[in-house]
Amino acid sequence: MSAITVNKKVCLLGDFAVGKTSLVRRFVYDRFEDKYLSTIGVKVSRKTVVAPAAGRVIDLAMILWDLAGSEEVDKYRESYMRGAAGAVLVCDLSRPETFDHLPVYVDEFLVVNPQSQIILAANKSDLTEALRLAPNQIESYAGSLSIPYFLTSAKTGDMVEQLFRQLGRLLLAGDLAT
Amino acid sequence: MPNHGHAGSHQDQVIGDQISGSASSLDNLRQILFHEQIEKIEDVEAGLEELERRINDERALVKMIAPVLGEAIRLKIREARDELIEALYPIIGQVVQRAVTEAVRDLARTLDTQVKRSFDFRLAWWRLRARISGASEAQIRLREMLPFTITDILLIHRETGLLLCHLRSDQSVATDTDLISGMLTAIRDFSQDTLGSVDQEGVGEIMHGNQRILMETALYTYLAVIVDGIEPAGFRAEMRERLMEIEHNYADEIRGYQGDSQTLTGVEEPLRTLMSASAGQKLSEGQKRVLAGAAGALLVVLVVSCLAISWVWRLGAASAERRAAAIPPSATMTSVPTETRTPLPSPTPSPKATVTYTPTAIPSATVTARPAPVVGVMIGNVWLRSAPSYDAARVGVILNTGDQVEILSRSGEWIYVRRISAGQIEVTGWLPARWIVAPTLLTTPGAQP
Ligand SMILES: Nc1nc2c(ncn2[C@@H]2O[C@H](COP(=O)(O)OP(=O)(O)OP(=O)(O)O)[C@@H](O)[C@H]2O)c(=O)[nH]1
Ligand SMILES: [Mg+2]
Repeated sequence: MSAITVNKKVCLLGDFAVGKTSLVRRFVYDRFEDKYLSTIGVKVSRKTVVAPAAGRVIDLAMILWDLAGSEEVDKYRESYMRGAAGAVLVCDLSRPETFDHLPVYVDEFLVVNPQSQIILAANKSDLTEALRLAPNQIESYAGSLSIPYFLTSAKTGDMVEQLFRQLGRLLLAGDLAT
Repeated sequence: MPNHGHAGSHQDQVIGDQISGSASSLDNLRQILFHEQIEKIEDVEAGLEELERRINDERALVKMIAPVLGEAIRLKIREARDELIEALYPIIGQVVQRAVTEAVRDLARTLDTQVKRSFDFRLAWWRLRARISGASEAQIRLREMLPFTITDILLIHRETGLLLCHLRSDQSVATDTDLISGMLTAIRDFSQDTLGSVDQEGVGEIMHGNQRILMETALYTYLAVIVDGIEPAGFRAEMRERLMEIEHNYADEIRGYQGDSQTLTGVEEPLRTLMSASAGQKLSEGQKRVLAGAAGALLVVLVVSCLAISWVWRLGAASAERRAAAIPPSATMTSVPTETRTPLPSPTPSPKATVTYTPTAIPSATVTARPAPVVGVMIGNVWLRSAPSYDAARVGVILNTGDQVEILSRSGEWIYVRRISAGQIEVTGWLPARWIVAPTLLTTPGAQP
């Protein structure tokens, strides 16, 4: 069966150390690492998923751009965002400030890519002792943007697959609409 | 000496005594007369013996000679240089000669193929170019012989960094071109932001040892060609031409590119042409015959006119060659690397969705191991589905009115839940939001993005 291949650029956005790189690593390589190596600039990875869309089978290659975290709007990040079809917003459930900063990323991203799909990952759900964000806060923020959200853990792998697959569906659905 | 005088008076008797009687007295005499010499001889003998021992014992000998050897050699070189060179030549000379011969043979081999390929014509061409450029003929010839191969050609969408098309000369090596094109684009964006101005072309090439990535940029796409060695003159112009050709022929598809490479079928043809450029400027048999004939005729003519005509011919041959190269050679090329695929659960059949069956005793543990959940209560009897859509497969479980659910995620009007009612098997799945009431649940109006 020769399927159609569709490539989509996806950005991971969020503060330092919220787990963007870890989410990608879990999704692409199914691995996790405890040590923290801050991403400098950008790291590109790819994962292909098979998805049905409009009665056809499509190979969706997600080209994942894992961007360095930083709260300030910076011009480098803006050019890395260019041309993305989707974004994964990431915050850390144990650090409320990472959640508070999400609107910065959303605004920046939507200015560059108004037609894109966004999904929210509230990460590190495994840190049950240290959770400082209530899931209903996440829920209400995601609701206000009308975007899906997932409580993920790159460490245990919980909801990571579902997160990216849901984004994949949205990316292809967005295609059909245009 | 009184003794002597006394002995002299009885000389005969004494002598007779000695001859007849005791040899020991002769010895005594010898001792008296020569004892100093004898001792010296014994010393010399001992010394000789020691010397012999040292010479025969290799280690002792080395120990003895080493301190003076270096000095001796230095002295010898200073005093008799030629002599030494002569002595050493058979050893060192051979080594040097072998190395040089090898290098020369390699050079000769390249020269041979070049000369065979081009006959005298190319020589004339070199000579002419040398004269025009002011470089020596040898320099020009050397330049022509530098090896050049294209390993990969990538056509990349500028905005997204997505790979539009990929050709590779050698199928055996696998490079992840998707990632290369992404990272390349990131590098270009970065340098553009830090160093560039808007009208600048951006990064033109990246070097890594003998390998380089040559880049030519157009409005929506750019071409990255990974090469080994030095590209021939005019290669970049060729790159630009092919790129323009592509942008012109696929203007609409490229401008609104949505990631579907199917819209760009046929885009690799111009790139094949480019790829064949590295196969070298080989001439066909027919061209060679023409070339030979022309060369023979020209040799008769004056040197100056010979050079001029050869130049004109060369220009013609180059364009004929390019036309001939438009029919791609048998070189194997691939597009788009293979990769691992993970199937997404299809929304239509296959009830393979995320169903987690856990024994009833455990759910309480599972629940407490998670962040304080958003809990809702069912207000209807609803099928759980594998994806947020009525078209998606049912998980095979109906949630009943009053069932407690943990809300895990939300997509538009659909909620992803885990059933946590005591005494029931744990199940996850999607259901429409309106069948759940939860204190915190927002009813988001409007369609999902
Ligand atoms: N417990 C737990 N730790 C996590 C999780 N995800 C990431 N981490 C840890 O958090 C730290 C930061 O993770 P990264 O993935 O490098 O963070 P990042 O967002 O890429 O950070 P920058 O590249 O600096 O922007 C690492 O030490 C990870 O091991 C998670 O789900 N649970
Ligand atoms: Mg990182």
